[in-house]
Amino acid sequence: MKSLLVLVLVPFFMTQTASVEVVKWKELEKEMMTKNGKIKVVNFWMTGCKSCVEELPHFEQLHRSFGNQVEVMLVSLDKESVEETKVNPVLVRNRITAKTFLLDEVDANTWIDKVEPTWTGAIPATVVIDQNNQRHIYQKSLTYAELVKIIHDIHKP
Amino acid sequence: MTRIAIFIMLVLVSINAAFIIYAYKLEDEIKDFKLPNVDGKMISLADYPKAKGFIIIFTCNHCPYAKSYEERIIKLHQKYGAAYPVIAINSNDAAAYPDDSFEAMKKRAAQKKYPFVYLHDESQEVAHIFGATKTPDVYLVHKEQEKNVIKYVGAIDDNYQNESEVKKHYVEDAISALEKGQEIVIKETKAIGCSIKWK
Repeated sequence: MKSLLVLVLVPFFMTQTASVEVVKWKELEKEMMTKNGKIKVVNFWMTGCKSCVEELPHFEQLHRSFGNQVEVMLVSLDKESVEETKVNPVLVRNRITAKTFLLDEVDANTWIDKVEPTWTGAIPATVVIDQNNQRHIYQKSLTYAELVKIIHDIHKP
Repeated sequence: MTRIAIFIMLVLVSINAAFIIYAYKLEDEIKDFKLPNVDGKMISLADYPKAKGFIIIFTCNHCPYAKSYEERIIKLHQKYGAAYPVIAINSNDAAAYPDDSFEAMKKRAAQKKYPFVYLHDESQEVAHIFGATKTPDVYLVHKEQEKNVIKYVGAIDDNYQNESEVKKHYVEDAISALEKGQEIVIKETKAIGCSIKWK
């Protein structure tokens, strides 16, 4: 009986554990390009950016509510050296279960335009890739309601 | 036909007037501005008749990227300030970010003994006119026939994390090209920065 309880509870707690995949631009680009029929919502953030951290729960909520239609990708731009000390605690505190990456690149000039040419590099920033592979950039904080509206407007059943 | 053209122009003008979005581009002549410095004096570019140009940097106190470049901004001014003084401008809304208030700017400038002016763009008008979007954001300006012309826009260098690993010194390379009368090779770059906190 006890072991059954453990079996039931362990997966629950496991989802609360943050896991970050450290990637280079090439790998992130591949993730962004991979077609899986879902709308991709790629959010660029960092722990030191207050407005970025404040909007993380909106993306998590989107992931939990629309995970079957929408793939949420959270891309931390923090230094790799603070993954354990800064990035993970923020993810745990906000109960993030959405896919999280840490983009380990120092010269953003080499990849910003590849995300979206009109992106100035300011964060918070979110790129939505629709089912036709069109990219839409939002260079501001987004509320949950705004995110749902964006998805609703571009979603093609 | 001309009537349509005039109408379109009027619409464009009114849009510009409504949002004050000028967003300077390379080779644009910039308009002078007048902003308060942390020492209480009002500063404008006209106060530097001997300068060959300016390193105008939108920056602030709170942003991790701005902090990461703080020492390098001081060094830029120490190295080039006689001819190309650094003009640091903070345009962030202090109501949302108290760390970026004028008082906090004065404190930070005193603590770190900023050798350059650190101006407060409280109305955010200067940031709007430049089309600045983030901190730090550099506009390198060169004086050409009494006009202040934008010659480089973007990042200070190619490694915000670690100064010792910088390979491309974008701003320094641009200044050195200007000094030699050569064409600047990299005129525009992009970097990650904290969005300017608009009111």
